[in-house]
Amino acid sequence: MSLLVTSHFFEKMTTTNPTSIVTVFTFANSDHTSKVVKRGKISRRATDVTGGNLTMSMENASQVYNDFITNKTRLLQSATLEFGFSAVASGSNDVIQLFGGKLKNVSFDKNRATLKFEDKLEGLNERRVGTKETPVSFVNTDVNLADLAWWLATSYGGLSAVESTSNPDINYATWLDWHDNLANDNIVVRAHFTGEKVFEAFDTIQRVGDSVIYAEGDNKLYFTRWTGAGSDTLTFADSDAYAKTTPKVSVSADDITNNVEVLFGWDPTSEAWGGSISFQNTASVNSYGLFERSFDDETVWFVNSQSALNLAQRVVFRRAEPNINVKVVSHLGFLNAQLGDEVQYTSRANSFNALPLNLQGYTIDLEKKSISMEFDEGFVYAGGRLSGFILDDPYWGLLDNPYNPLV
Amino acid sequence: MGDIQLGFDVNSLIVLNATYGSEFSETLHRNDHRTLTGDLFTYIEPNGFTSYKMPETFVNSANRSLVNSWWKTGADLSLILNSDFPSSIETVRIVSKKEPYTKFIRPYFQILYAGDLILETI
Repeated sequence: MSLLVTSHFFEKMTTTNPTSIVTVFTFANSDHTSKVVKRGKISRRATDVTGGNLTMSMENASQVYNDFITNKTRLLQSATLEFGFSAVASGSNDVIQLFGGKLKNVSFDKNRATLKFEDKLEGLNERRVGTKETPVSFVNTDVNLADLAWWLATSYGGLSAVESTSNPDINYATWLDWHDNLANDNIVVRAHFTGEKVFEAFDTIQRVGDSVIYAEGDNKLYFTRWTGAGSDTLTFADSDAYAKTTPKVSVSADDITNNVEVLFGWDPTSEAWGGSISFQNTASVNSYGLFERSFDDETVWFVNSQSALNLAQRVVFRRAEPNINVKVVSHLGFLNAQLGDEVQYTSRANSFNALPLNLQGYTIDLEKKSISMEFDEGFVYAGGRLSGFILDDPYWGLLDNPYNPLV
Repeated sequence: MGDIQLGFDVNSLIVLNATYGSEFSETLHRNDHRTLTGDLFTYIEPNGFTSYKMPETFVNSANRSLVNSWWKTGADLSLILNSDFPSSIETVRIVSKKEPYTKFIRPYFQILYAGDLILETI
């Protein structure tokens, strides 16, 4: 899904010469925009739960930031960086928040102060779930992965537990969609934590759930699980790629996975697995050889073979072939793109015509007015193709349900 | 054609002896990008600034001292580009790492000076 923006914002964002550009930098509830010398880049990747850091270069000829040396309580105060366009009709700014975080470091050089901010959700990396002596367990109850993630985020991550779209820390709409998606596939798990960081737990949930948990510029956690083409699929073509940095296309066999074993029914007491399933794409094995992968997480695990098979099939379904990766630098017309968004990529140089890819990462550079994006045929840990059926393909052309569960 | 005037305020202006080669330019925070299909994307952020470069000669000692003091203190100054239109005021500062008037004029050694005065709007 793409970030929701106003129609005014979208119209401005997608034009070739937008007017009334507005950038607002707020720190400790004060507008510091006029003191900004250089805005740092903002990067996010689908494999990273949080949004990374932001570095702002500020003028300090006025010595206003020397106060950080004498008044250290000013550190860890919050800041936001917003970008958008002034709305003439309303008289207000129509902006989106690209970054929100806390000040972690200030350095001084000549007449400038460099402020380094850490994403608000980085705090999840400081919190642990249980201890070896006092573990936190869901060993007797089958839970939906989304409920597990919610519980971790709110009970241990310190995030808001408000179950509505007004939740300030969690994008409730995407969480609910994710929850329903997992429920529809009957994915149930159990869990046992002995001091893992909340980040590590989320990472395991991403892997086990074939999902993406990520933070956006509004400092909320988002959740998504690949389900094929959506109604807001992005399109990217040569008319979007900056000529100075031509697209970089690569095809890699590094992530081929055509035989997956998933263990289920872990018992933390006896330290034994209840069983395992395997799923293989024979055609891929015949073409490329055997590439195996095993899922045997002992903090979050599947309860039954059905759930385990679902993961195995999803991974093999999308990782059976070498992966196409594309890196592009584009205009700001994709400011509303979110990690995991489907992209139809067209390029004359590589004879790509609406090639289905997924957005794996991006870097927004407000100084250069560009967005660097990485598209991948894969989807985070697994693969992503929009088509569940490819005519005449020896594997993807089969209509047999066990082979094409998404058809 | 009126005079080019500079000073702390409109009541204490000096006349600048700008010679040939005076320049001005407006700088915007602007990015222009071409795509692979030749489309041009232009992003312009508001709040640019205007630069004025004025080579001057026959600057007397009093004005030299005054201008150099403004340069040393980074004072906000009023610039009137044409005294016939005194309402056309720009608020500027002298910008450069070196003091503006650094040349002697023969045969007025230590009496009259020359140099480049570089101003930018704030």
